[in-house]
Amino acid sequence: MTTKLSLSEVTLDVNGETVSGHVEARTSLADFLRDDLDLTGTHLGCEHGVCGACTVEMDGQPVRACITLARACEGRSVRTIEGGDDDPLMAALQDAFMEFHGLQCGFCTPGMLVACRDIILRHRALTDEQIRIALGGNICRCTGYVGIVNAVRSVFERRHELLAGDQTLVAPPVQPDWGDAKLATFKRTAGQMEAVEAAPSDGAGGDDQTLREAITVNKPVDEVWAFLSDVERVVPCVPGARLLSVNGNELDVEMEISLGAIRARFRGTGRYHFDDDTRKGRMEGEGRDARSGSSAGGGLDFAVIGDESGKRCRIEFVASYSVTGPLSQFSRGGLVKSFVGALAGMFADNVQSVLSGGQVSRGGGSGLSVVRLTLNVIKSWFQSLFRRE
Amino acid sequence: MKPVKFDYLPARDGAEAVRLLTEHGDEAKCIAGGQSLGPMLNLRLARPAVLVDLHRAEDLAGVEESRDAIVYGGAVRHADFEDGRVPDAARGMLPLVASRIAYRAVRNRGTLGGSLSHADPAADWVCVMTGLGATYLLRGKKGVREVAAENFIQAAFMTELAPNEILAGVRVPKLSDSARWGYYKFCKKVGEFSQATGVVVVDPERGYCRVLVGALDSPPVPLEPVAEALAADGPDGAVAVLDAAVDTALGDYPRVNRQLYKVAVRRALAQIGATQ
Repeated sequence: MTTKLSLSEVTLDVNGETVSGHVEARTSLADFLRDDLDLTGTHLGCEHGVCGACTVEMDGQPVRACITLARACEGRSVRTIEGGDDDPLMAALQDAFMEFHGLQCGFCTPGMLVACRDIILRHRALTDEQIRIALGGNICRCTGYVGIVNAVRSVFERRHELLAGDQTLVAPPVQPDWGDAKLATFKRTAGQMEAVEAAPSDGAGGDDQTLREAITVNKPVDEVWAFLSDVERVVPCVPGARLLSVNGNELDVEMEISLGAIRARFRGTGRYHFDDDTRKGRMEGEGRDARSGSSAGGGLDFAVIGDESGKRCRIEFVASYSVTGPLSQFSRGGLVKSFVGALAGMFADNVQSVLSGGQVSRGGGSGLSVVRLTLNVIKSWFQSLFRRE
Repeated sequence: MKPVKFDYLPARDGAEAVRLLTEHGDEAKCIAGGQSLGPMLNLRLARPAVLVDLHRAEDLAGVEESRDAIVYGGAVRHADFEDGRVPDAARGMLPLVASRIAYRAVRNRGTLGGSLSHADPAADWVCVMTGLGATYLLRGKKGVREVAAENFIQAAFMTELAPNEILAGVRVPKLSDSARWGYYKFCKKVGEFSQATGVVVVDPERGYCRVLVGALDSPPVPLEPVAEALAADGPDGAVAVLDAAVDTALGDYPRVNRQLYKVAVRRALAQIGATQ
């Protein structure tokens, strides 16, 4: 869904001057600085907060300008690399970067300098290891960091002559020392949690995956089979799925999922085949999410097995699935599996519920037609790209 | 790279945020520090029609201390813990953990409530708050409801929060003077998300003990036999039953991964005095 184009005025202090501009809600601070104010010293590298090239100071603290909205900076005070000219510490850092070969192409340098200035301001003592850890959020592809670390150390060693008492020292947190006393043993009366097994994970990945699920229902086998072989009743039991039309054994289906902040709507076609003699069936389909350009396919095999009493029966499901396209690049096998496992579990619950005269739960407690599910495949992608929380 | 168009609505306080979220329904999304949602917006993975910004809601950035607990506002930032601008309920655990979240530029913006709402199983606060037995205060139209940390995350990125609720605060029970904690995470590189996390919190005075393995494909999992052994026999007793407990809890994980989780918990136990 899009909204109308509208610009809003934003006023903030940039490098000591009050500036105003008209920006879209989606305009980042970095774009506002570069495009509206021509302050192109703030570099844009990854544009999703990983590389550190766009680091600027906001109210004296380094922040990522690429993932800070310009509108969110209303009334704030921002200092870019261009605003460091009169700062003795920044000047000393720039000299040291030249002296120690702390830069080559210069792309990371503005963000690197802003980060280094902050490191010097915040530390009472600095080892090379601490410098490296503190620079973990600024990526340099040229220098190998050795020159940068040397530059920071050299400036840190003579910081007292450069600072006008504006060091903002805080004691860095350290691992506590519990002393020599042995930890007391005691009767545990609090903190208990229900022991659960972690959601299934295969860890190994792979595109084609299967999951098994089985439920027992207190209904005769014929009644259950009649339900399961009725696509108009069964498809809605799949969380997020909607049956659009049926032609023979061809189906038009839509599947909408909500994945944290991400939503995807897969639209596609499916087929079904039911064997009344063996009471086994299969539904399968594949669809595409137009927005992300990802495709997903899945199949559901099921079998109904009556028990001796004739009053109860067991339904066995085997779900298989695959994801291709952009979403799949974020996938790790175990995460997809736990997601589909959640889907399969909800499907089984819905079947159980409908057979018992209840209703299909649409999930989420939000009253939405969209089932709020997470697509865990994005997690590993967060891990590899965002490295944050 | 540009996000899709959206309306930006800054909320003055938590009540206004809930009202705006209710008004705009499922197309609205909350943003506080924006350190997780920001990248998703830039990559157009998230395409909200409305962003409700909480970062100026002062009632969400406060701290309330009582005799037994501290309530941290959802908009308290990681750097506030790291720099000691908010009191620490957990004998040094909160500042130290905060100081190792991502990078300083991220910690300056990222918030406690944002991280928990994002619900990445590998996030530090997700593991730590569950380990400490924290309670989350979810604010909605009808007021505030409380959810225990261990019941908040249903699956990765999936929480108890309704679309028009915000995580307004986190109540952390104060550790007593005899309490100890251990926390260890494996990261390939400084600031990256953890690959395996071990959390140990033991508070003899309160009879409290919790041992968790985190950074799974799902929310943190308790190692109850280890916690029982830790209370009854001490840290070495806990180590003795650790491997079996991880194998039971993570039976479906490949052996190499289980080993990583075992070592993470063992190193957390070593921090409280285990010698094995």
